[in-house]
Amino acid sequence: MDFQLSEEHNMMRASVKQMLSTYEHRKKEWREMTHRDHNFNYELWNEFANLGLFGCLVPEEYGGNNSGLLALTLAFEDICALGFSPSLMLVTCMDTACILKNGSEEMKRRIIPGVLSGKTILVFAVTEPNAGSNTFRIETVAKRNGDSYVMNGQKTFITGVEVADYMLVVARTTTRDEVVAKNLPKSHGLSLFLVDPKSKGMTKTPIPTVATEGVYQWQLFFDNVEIPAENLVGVEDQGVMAMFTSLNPERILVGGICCGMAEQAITMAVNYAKERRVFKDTPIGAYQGVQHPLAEAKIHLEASRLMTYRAAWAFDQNLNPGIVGNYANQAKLLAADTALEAVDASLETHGGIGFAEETGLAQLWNGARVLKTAPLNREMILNYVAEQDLGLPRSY
Amino acid sequence: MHIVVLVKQVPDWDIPPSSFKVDEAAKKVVPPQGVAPVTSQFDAIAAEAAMRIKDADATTKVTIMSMGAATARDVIKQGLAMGADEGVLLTDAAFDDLDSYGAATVLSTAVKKLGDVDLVLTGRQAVDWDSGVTPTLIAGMLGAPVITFGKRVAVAGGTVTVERVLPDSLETVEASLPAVVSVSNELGEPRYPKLPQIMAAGKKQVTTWAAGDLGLDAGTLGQKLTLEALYVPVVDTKVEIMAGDTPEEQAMALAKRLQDAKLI
Repeated sequence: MDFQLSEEHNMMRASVKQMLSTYEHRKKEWREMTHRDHNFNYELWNEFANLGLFGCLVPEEYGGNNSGLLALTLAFEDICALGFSPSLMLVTCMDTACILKNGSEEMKRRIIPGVLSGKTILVFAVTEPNAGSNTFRIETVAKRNGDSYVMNGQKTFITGVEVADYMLVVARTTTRDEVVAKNLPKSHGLSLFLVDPKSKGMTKTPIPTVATEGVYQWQLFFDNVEIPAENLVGVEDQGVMAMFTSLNPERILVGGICCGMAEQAITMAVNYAKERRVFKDTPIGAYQGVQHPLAEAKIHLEASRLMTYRAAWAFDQNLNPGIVGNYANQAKLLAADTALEAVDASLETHGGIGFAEETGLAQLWNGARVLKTAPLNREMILNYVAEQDLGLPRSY
Repeated sequence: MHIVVLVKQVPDWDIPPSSFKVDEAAKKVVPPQGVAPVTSQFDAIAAEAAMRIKDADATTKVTIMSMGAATARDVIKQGLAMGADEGVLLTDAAFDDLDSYGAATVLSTAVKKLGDVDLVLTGRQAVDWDSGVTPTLIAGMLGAPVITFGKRVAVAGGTVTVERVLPDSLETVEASLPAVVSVSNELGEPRYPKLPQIMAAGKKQVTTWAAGDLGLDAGTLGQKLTLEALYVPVVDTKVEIMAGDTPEEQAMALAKRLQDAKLI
């Protein structure tokens, strides 16, 4: 077993760090811009594109560099460890993976170049008021009408619609009633579409939230929105499998983000604990009451890294998506818990100054807390592991 | 135009001072655990200088050459990812712990073996030992002119033109090719490789030469310098508060204190 990263991974990490180091002086400004004002950081987005990060999952024949999900995961980790945000790169890359796996050749040639250059931003629209963790309850419908589909329904908590060029929307092309009536598998009837958020018939309402960096969350209403048939991603009614090709990378990349957040929080705490003196001339880092929570967080971070890297490796090796999903879910759960644990320990180490805006720790806590619940909450992951890994019966 | 860039792998200079340790008995630096060695700062800038020449003339061939342990392959790959064409690793037990003269002997012999080299670019000094004499020694062994502390390097018509950094000014000098030029940090930040270049570099081969390939052996690489001792100097820091009721009095006290200490 070889735990060494490749030369390419190490060089890529060095490039990410070198690029970000040139923006160290902008970090505070950008934090205010994204956290407080919810403005999208196009400047950093273009740097990500320039570095080639959008091409990690894209084969060379489509202009990518095919360095893989592990490379992208490491980049996400480093970006967050250095106090920056990958922002919508997560959803744009997971949508890209889905298009590459399921989209038509024409769609790949049409969409991927824009993604690689940073000009095309993709977001993901699955959640509905009555369909969160249970995707099969999706009610938004898309009915074929000649050379197009007509979409009606609503979505909620959709991230970044205001800057998106396309949304990857999950909708029903066969209703649940029809699925039941025809005795079809419950996974039947869902389809994926690329939808222009500026399409006629779309209404967008922002949902005020905290912990959303640089973009807003949105409620969307589709009122006879016409979608060109060529924007169907994959096969009609078979969208569930297509959707899962993007969900595995999503969870793995979230693992990378959480590892980076934990690294950032621990580093800040360690630096502070070495300098801060409260009693006599002893730095507080010498007290075991301060050391142990940070040491525990560090151990959990190392475990999270191993699980996240294994999941990314499994994806890059094209292992069975079920196996990858199992690894990805477990990694996401542990990494998200670890991020929260590390930020909490860091806040405790800092004391009052940890809540000052200038440290960024309170904002980091918000971000880490969101990832405990999103994109898939702990309970659903535990259900999945209990059923899939342990073979326990299902209760719901 | 064929440019050879000499790069050295050194311990990461960006580590905290507390992580820097030496083995005084063995007279060696103890590599910091968990911190990967890196390309010497000025050598990466030399690679940048080469790439700027290649940017201006795409027919330019750039070879990255490094002498060191097998891990020095990493710094060669870094140069390849910046856009260089070929890599040469010089590694042999006989090359371990060489002084500047020995290193220059190996490197100049390897450059001669390549045969068609027009320009050798180096950093102004390696950031581990900071001797700064290897570029000049190499030039002497090659019988080529040397220009040091380059801020800007351009080649045209068999001539290299270098704007070089002096303590209080700049000067521009020319030399006929082949030549050796060392560059300084004033040249600018080295570019960071993009992912497509990094992936492409992974497919480029690195040629490895040992002492035998260069017709060298430990006997021909005798040390000119003797390392007497290696240690981390103890720096004693004290704080003195200048007495005085007004800033002017404090300033006068400070001036007198510095004068007494013969610092001004």
